[in-house]
Amino acid sequence: MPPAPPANPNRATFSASEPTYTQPQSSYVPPPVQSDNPYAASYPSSAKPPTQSYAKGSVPNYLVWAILATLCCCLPAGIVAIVYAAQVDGKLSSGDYEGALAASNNAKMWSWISFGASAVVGVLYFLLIMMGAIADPGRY
Amino acid sequence: MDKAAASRFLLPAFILAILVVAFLLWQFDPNQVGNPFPPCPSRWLTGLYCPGCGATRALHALLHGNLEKAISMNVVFVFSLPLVALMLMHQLVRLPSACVAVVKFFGDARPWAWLLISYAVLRNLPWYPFNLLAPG
Repeated sequence: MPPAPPANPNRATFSASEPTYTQPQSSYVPPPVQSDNPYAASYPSSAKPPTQSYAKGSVPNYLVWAILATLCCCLPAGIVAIVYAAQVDGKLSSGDYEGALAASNNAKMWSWISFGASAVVGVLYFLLIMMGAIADPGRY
Repeated sequence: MDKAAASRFLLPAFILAILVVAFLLWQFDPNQVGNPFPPCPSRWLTGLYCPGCGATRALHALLHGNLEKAISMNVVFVFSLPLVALMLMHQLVRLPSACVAVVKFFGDARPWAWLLISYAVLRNLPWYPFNLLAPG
């Protein structure tokens, strides 16, 4: 009589690799939402699944521009931009896609405000230096 | 704007800006009176240090190989400089996947917001050890 065949090695690995059926929350990328929809904010919040979490990066947070605006422009607008950038990630992880889009647009806008204001300040400063050089050429 | 279009216009602009800033910092010392670099407008208006105060002097020290002085000018600026450069490159060109992983790891804005806002507050406190965060 032949010996009993060994236990099927695939059996153990099969049960060990049995998939666990959790919600693929972090990998779900929502369809693009029109950001210029004026009624986006007036949708009832119950229409969204309450625990739905969106993929990080599905809404741009303009983080690098906000950091550059904060560290290189030296204006409070950079802090505003980085707070809105943080709101993008916070609202994405809590499932507020429209809120994340609004915060994303604000982060972009405040980064531009910071860059624009510092460019204006820089040009004014340059003009003042030039005027000073013209008025008192001996110092330069 | 996709990466190809971004790198066509923004990449040369950034390289040019970096070269101009490096040349100016090589020629002029921002520590000396009458230097051509603009002062921090926030400090000029309010007398308070902003998170970027000392960045020009830190860059000057870095360019002249003095890492210790650069850190004493603006420690957060010095340590975030390579990360921000990598993030900026990620916006403009296609990076190798290891660099993209680093960018993704530091891509959440919430820790950055906490870091920079608390830095803005702490470096204005006059007591040890917070006064080490002020430039100089």
